[in-house]
Amino acid sequence: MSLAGLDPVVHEPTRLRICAFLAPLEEAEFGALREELAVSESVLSKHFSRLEAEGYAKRRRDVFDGRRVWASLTRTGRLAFTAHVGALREIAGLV
Amino acid sequence: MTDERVGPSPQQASDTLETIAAVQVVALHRGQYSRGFATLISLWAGLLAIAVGLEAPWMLAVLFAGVFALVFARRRLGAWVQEVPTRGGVWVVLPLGLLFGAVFILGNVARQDLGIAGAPYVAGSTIAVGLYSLMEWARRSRLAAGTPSGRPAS
Repeated sequence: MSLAGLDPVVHEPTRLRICAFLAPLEEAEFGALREELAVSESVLSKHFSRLEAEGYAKRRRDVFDGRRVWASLTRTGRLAFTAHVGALREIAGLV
Repeated sequence: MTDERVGPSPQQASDTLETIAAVQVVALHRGQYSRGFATLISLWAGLLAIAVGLEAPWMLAVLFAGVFALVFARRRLGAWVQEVPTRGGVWVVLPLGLLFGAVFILGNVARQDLGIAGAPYVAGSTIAVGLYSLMEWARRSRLAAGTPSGRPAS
């Protein structure tokens, strides 16, 4: 079956869950992401870095507490995720 | 979800969509402010409007207290929902923001030019009730929707 419409970066299961978690949010703290997705810090960091490298996500340090890091999807990331979900819906026959 | 060389079957795609929906529900609950928070922020906005309208010396204290409350709430939740997730949402929020601004200005004009001493109180109360209604409507809509599609903010 073809992968047309599916984004290979978003398609990886952990990255897909990261995108799904961040999509309805303005931003989330890394700790919250790790806790809710039940992944280790290294796994989260590895996959988040890939999303960052593609321009799909970004991180920023908390203004008041530099130890806290906040993650969010970029506009490009949101568009890619939306397109990916659309492609999945098409494959699932929901469109 | 499947490996990257072969696309998913309809059943796999359907399962993945269910996973996405479940994760998004978790995110929404994590990032959603409480009804108590909506009440506090609305009271704060109303009080700020009254303080500015009365040119009260304590208006800066009110302003900073609200900003600190917002920052604290955000950090405590560890996530924050998108207040205006769609382009359409902007067209709802923008006129309402202008309406609140107009109520605030009317309150000031009524006090300063018409001498109606209670006008800032009326304006502040209107803003507080309006903002609470808007926040509560948005909160309930988000929780009821449960499965947003990750649409961009603009």
